[in-house]
Amino acid sequence: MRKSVRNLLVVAAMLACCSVLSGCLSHWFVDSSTRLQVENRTEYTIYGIDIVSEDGTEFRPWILDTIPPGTRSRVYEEDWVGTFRVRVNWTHEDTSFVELDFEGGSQYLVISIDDDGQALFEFK
Amino acid sequence: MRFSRSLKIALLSIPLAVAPALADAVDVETVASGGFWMRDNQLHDIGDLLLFGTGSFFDIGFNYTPLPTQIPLRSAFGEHEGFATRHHVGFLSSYPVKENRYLNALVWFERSGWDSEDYFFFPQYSDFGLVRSVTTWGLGYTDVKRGYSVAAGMQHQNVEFVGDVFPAENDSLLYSWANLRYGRISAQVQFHRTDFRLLRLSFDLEDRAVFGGASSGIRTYLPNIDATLYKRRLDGSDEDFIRVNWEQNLYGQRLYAEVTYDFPDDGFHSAALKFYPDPSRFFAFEVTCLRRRVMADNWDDLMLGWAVEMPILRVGYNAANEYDHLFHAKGTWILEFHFNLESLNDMLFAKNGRQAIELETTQIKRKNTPNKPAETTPLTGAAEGSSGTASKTITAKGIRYEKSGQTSNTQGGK
Repeated sequence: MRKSVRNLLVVAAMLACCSVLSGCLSHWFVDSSTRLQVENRTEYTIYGIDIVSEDGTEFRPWILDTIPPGTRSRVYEEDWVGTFRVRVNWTHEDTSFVELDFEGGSQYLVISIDDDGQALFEFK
Repeated sequence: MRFSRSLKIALLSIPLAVAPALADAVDVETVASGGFWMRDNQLHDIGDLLLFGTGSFFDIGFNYTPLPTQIPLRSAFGEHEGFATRHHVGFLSSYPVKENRYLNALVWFERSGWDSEDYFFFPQYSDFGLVRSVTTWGLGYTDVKRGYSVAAGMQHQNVEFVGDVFPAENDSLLYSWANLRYGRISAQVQFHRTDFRLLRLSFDLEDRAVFGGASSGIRTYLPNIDATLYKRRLDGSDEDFIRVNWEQNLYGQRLYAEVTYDFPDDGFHSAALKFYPDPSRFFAFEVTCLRRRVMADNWDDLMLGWAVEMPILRVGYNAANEYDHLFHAKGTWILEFHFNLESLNDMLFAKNGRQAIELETTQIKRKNTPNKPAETTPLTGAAEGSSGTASKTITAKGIRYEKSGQTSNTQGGK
């Protein structure tokens, strides 16, 4: 009986340690925000990148810089981790929408135009 | 021992392996309305415990979802990775004031929500997080002889943080509650200021050995029924409904069926078949069937799930309890580390246990111990049977003095 109580206490203490540390531990390998930098490899000027709601009625600005062709933006950190709809405002066409998966942490997005004139979004 | 260890490792590794593939997101609306069910759940637990009101109870637990892809949040913008969390602790204590009359004190606390990082004490409060807590406390008076108990208290809901994507919430809500029991019939009410919010009538007719009833026989097959009238407003209009819950012993207080039904409109909510290997309810195996309603898509379906409950760990997959109390989380294994214990007189049992657990007592026999019972040992050191002044003796249950050798050694245990 005494041994089983002792075992139970050891298990309880281990669980308590794990639980107290759980938040800290996950931060070592999971990012809860995305630090995004965008490079513009098109010949058009990008003047802002937003996240738009799926029904198109709401938006949140993310990249606030104007990015001339061949340059890159500053780094902006936001809490977007997951799958979201990105809107690119530029002089190419009115706007471009693309659904992108942000894994969190430092992410470098390259925007280019392919041979068919379609916008390409790649994380590098 | 080795088998049980590998079983534990296997149990813990499976959710890690399958969780990302099967994860389903929880909606912003269900996280936002979580406080309603949290308050109701606490009052329901308290009502169950005040059925006896002479013992004590302790309950602690937290849900553990190790991966941020396990329970993502679905907002208008898409799917956010993060963690749904739920921690709770509950405590009831009884103090005898006179013979057969007890005072009760109780505190229930639960903190839950969704955040981009998991936490135990300090959340990150990300832009899309919501963290709230509910504290329920109360005082009660129980008269065992007359068979009634009265309890009342307050319920505080505090919103610590509401992210951008959630509807604006009142950051502090104060409720009052009262519980009146006569025999096996209880009534419970809840008010928000002077607004009536909830009325629950419970008929716990099943005989329970822990309350001095029978442990077998026809009276243990009587049903436990509770009906709750919820008064709430949805989208600005009154959405009152009555939820009826029927718990029925099917076989020897080990196999139970439970059905929950909503009146007048919504109909069937959930059903469960629960098997308790021991009526003390430290272990449980559940199979549940829950009707999901997704109003936006105007469809509903039946979701089958199961759960295994052990002391310290509960594992559930699509189980009704997890769905109802963890923001409709489904499609993933949900672990809950928990511990609960009720004590009544000399009996120990788990939450809502029907019979006390049988504790094993091991008697250790020492070498060179005279083979006769020696419950009472003179403290004066005089040899047994010697005449003289009456020696003082102590008769203590649970303490055993054992003699060693021929000399009368009174140092217990040496």
